[in-house]
Amino acid sequence: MALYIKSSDCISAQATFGSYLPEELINTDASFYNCIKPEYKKYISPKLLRRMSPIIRNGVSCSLSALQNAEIDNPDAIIVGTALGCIKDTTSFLTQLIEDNEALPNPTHFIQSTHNTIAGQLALLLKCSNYNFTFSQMHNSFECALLDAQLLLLDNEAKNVLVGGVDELTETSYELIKDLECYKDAKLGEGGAFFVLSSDESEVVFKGVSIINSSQCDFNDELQKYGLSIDDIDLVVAGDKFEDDPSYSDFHKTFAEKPYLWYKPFVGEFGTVSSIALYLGVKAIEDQSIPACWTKNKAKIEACNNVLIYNNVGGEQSLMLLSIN
Amino acid sequence: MSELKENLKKQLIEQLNLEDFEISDIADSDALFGDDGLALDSIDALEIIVLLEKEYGIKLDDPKKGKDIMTSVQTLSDFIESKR
Amino acid sequence: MSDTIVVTGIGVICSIGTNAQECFTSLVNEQSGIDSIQYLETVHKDKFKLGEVKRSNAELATMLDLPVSNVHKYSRTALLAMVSANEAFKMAVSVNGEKTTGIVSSTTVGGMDVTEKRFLKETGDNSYLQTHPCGDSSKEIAKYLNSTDYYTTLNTACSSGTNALIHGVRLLNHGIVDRVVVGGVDALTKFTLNGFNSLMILDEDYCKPFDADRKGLNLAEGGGYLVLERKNEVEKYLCQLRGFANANDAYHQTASSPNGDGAFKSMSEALKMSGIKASSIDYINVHGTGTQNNDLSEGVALNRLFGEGKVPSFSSTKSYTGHTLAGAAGIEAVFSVLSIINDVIYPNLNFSRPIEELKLVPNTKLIKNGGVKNVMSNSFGFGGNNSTVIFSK
Repeated sequence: MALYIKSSDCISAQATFGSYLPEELINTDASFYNCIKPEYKKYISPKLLRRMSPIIRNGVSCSLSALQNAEIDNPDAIIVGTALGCIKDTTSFLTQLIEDNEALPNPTHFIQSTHNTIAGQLALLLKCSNYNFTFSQMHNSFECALLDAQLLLLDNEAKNVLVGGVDELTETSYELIKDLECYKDAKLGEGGAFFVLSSDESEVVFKGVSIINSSQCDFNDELQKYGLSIDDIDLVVAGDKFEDDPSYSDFHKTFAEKPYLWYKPFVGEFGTVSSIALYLGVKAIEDQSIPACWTKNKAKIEACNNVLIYNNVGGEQSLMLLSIN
Repeated sequence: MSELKENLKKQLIEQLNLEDFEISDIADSDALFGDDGLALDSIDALEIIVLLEKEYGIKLDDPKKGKDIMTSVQTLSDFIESKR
Repeated sequence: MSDTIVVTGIGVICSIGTNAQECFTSLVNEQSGIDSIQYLETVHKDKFKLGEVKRSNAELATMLDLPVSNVHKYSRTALLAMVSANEAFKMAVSVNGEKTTGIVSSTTVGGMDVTEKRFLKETGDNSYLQTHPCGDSSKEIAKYLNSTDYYTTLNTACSSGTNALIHGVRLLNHGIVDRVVVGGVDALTKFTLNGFNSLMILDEDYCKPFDADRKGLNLAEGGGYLVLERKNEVEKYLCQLRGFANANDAYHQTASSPNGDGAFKSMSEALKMSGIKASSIDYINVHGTGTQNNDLSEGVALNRLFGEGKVPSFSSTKSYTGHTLAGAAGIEAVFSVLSIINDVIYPNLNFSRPIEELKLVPNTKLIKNGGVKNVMSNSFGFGGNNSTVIFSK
């Protein structure tokens, strides 16, 4: 059974809620990237919005926008991936707790600190009583959510699944995580992307996602599982954090000559940034081109039929494959 | 408007992130909960309990008893006055 | 479900025991593990009772044959996860040999026990955050079990463990792995203790699930894991996994709906998948946290589904273990399996008077050899997240 990406939307430092990729990149001198804020009130009532931290606002509004694009009121499942979850409410609650020596921290921060607040708020807003999952596996959080969505659709338990990944970065959390080994020399960021994955036919075919938890990855083998070879790939969307990122040396050996889209230097590195990579892959197929500013090499895109999206952070690797219908 | 009531309104706006409200938008008798007025919910009720303890030193152990106290800014201020 | 899925291993650590046998003995002897605070450093030490695992981190490391000098590299969450997942895994391997093994774990606060001790202490060294993400303990399980296959983590608050099981079944059905370790874990933290305290849903005394005078829950810690495999590929198994479902109450971020809509939906859909009649359920291990809101809402859903006066024997084993958050569903799944293989129904402790509106009386005496064949287990969480699983002999 073929699966399709019926709609998608993204929140990032370069583009938020758009039908095209920007032709010019916004350069920022700040030490990390914050995403461009959409007009939240178009999607969420002020009554609910007042309590929502950035990750909840961004995740909920991006989801609602993706659902609108697909003209779906109530998805059969809501599946969210987030690496660090509601880190702002978590650090607020922790700070109060420690500074006031466990005297009366505010309950709202605790309530909103749970990772599944985004999916839970979506269920509330949409009055959606269906399947509602949240995955949190570091740099594969989005991929695990996507795999679950894929399996749910293949099991015929759903026709339209809302699936996405989102993370937030605040001044406090930036200071906390910037020195972690996996983020060495990377510019950090935040945001995410949401999709309606569907068994209804549309333009972009979702071939599948592979999650690999070892330092090795045989790209030929992996592509064969999807009936594709390296020659079939027209575009790669890869997660290099900077020029000559050592985590990508094997990948470069195989794919350096292919049209090569990279994005982490422009939107930043974070746990669910591969959701933005999938969004970029979808746009490339829909538009049959990508703006020059997003490409790493000068290879020309002839036709964009098969796109490989690859991410590797400290050995947590993933491959996602898209094709044109 | 009494100073206590004005302070209460300011604290409610801050603590409950009532971004769209000004002090002048809240009448003393406006319902805090329910569909009209401020339309607060049970999470706000917990926050008001914390506010009472932190700002006024009044401990409310049973959230159920809060219902009558938290009807409006007027009832809240009456309650605080009665405890002084 | 396409293939028949069976349980081939169980493992558990919580306040009433460090393995399945110890926990079972406590359950049949009506011994609660809830006690005054011994291990958690908190200003509320004399106020609340907790369900602590009576082992220090160093003792847990010793149980795992890990060098005690390295114990600071692990969160307590990861240590509890490794102990209980390893017990389940070893049991399955000893009977059915080695196989490609996935790990689907769950936790609500991950390595918060480490984070809260070091956060805001100006050391300039933030490496302690390595253990903070929810995914860390699952990765440690995979490392400890020498698995280089798929691992992941769910966090849907207190229903997490059942949702881990649901994702694990999908992995088996699609041949992604041949064996999967599923469950959940949480260590006690100041973060969760103060969090639940701020919601005013902690009982300072022993929790009284389904009692009219219930005042709240006792917070606790622990881990519980099952090993699942495809039935046609195993020599021996403990019981069958017959049905499951996840639904959302879509009512409130933390509270359950007065009609128990989410609970009703997850229980009915799990029953539908199992193909078992409601009247054939012999025992329900209820979510039963002991809070005003949960027990009333869950009880209303039970009456709606089974009919008033027809609700099967049920009890909340949280009256023994306390509420272990993401650990709860895994631990209670293990207790459900133990109920089937030993043919017992556990008593609900601390019950004296039924909730007025429900007239529901939990099972308060140990029932032996009553012919337990089908057991349902409920787990509900924040975000309106409701999950149900059904095991059969």
